[in-house]
Amino acid sequence: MLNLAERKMPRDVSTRWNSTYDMLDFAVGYQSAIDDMTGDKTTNLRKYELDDGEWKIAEQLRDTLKVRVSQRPHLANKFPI
Amino acid sequence: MIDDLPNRIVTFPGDENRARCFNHVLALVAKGSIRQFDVPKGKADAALDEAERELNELAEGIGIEDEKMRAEWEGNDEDDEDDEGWVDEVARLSVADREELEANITPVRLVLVKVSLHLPSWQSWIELTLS
Repeated sequence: MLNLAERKMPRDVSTRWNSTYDMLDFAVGYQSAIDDMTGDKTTNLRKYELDDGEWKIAEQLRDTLKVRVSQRPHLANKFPI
Repeated sequence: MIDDLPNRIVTFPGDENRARCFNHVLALVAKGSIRQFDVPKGKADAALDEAERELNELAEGIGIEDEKMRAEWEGNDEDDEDDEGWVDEVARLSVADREELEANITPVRLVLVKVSLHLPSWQSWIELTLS
């Protein structure tokens, strides 16, 4: 497949707000792989497919959350949601 | 920052007020931002539009995983949640403003829910495509 190293997808945990950043950053980085996966007939993931507008949203939210990541992991562990 | 704050804020008593408060404020800002995108639980209104219905449908199942993770973290948190003085700004909005906000937020929620649901298939997809 693509020139991306095999990587585990980070899970978004509601009590750890930096996990949302991790998940989005992963998704944006692996966009083409995820598009392949959701677009593949055999995976039955069509309804989870992201269109261009949705990818844009993912990127923007990732960038917004990025500013806060410099404080992690200390802050997110100290002050969970 | 702490040295400078008494000059800027008359009521700030100086460095006996620890910088940790600043961290807490940061954390509150972060969680205030993110919780806008949480999917409201059990919102089975007939008034749900298609996007929201789709969202609720997709979000089913996430809750269980979430509970699991939450349980794993329990006991790690020395600081209990301190929401004293927390004001729900959304509740103060007019109905029209709230609807507009909801309309703006729903696409973002949808993205987050979809991306979360990529996870269960990711590992097997990777193995499949690498083999």
